[in-house]
Amino acid sequence: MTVDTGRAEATLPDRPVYEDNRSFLVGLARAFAGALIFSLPMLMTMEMWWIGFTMASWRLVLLLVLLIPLLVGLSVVSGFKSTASLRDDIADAFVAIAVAVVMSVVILGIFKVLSVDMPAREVIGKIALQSFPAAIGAMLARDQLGEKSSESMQRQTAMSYPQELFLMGVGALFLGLNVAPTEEMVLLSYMMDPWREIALLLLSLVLMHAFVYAVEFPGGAKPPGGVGFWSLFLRFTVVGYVIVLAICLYLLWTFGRTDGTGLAEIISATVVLGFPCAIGAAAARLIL
Amino acid sequence: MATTGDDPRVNEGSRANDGAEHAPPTSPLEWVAAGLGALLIAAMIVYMVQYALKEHSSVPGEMDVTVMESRTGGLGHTVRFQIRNRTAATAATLIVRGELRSGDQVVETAEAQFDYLPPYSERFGGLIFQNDPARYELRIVPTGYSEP
Repeated sequence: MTVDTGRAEATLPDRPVYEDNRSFLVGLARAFAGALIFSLPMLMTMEMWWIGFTMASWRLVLLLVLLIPLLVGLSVVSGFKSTASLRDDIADAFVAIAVAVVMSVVILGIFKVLSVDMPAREVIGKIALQSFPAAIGAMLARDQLGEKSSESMQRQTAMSYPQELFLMGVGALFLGLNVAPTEEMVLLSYMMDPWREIALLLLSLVLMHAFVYAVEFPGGAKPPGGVGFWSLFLRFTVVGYVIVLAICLYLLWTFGRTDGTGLAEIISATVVLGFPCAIGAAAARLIL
Repeated sequence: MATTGDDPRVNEGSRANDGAEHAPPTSPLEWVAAGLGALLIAAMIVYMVQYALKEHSSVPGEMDVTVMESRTGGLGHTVRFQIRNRTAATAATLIVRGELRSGDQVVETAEAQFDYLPPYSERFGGLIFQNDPARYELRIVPTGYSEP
């Protein structure tokens, strides 16, 4: 790539300097790769196809509406470039959605999960549901698969407390979405007795705390000196776990697993799903 | 858009840190992709909202069965049929029963089960009889389902 600023000024005198198309296309390819990596387990899970058309339409609408601020937030916190303004973050979010929809259509079409003779509700429901994880994957990939620049590392270390919690939530979705739609979540909650569920809850908390702080990872969440164990445990692990459980409950409700289910079973399914989600949340700094 | 040879960083050297990625404005091509994404998600939301608004709590009772073809093979006579859901409700573990009748007498029955019959959808299945369906009166009816 030769640098020829003179030609640029000659041909485009009044234009602002854009990111060149080649790097955008590279970013787009990364986004496709990320969407695929992130959502393949879900593309190949039959519950995801079925839930696409059996779930209540309003819940799908809510999921799609929530996706937009989630992606914009993700772009702000961990986008692959430090975007100049909110406008650029919004653009990034919609690019991720476009990538997700195209990828879902292609893969589901090849799998014959989608075909032309299916009614619109079935086709759109399946695509819309798969687009949710795929769009998150597309957004993350631009960061994950790209080389980490020193600036993006700086931004990660300089994250505010709400941003940290937001990233934990995304980490919870990262692992939790793979298993949340499956029958096994409910089945496990039927199989486990209350003592095992309490044990799982405690194990989730311990592992979460271990992941966040005992592991000194490059993200740099190293606690500032003088902050006590309890302060960190309460501010990050416990608050993080509460966020995780809220996300689990929302996912279970979205996938129709809470309908007509008793409170005790809902709680235990939430704790079961909370296990992978807690690991995902705690490891968010490592894997996102 | 033949500006790929131009490195925008050169013009903005004062703004960028050493070696760090900085923030070029979103390119027109990216806006096109973003517009496409906005359009796609808006279309999905609008479709789902209008579907939800007109969706009535229907019961999947209205189903049509059409016999597609009948074939004789090693195992017996296979009757291939299509079942179509005419409602906005999903029938899960749908059981379809076929009967060969001679007057009032049921000569033979066969059953097929469908995991799901989504709203306004059609699925295909087959019933295998030992007797030749052509010689009897064939009746295919759905006999039960569960709500997902």
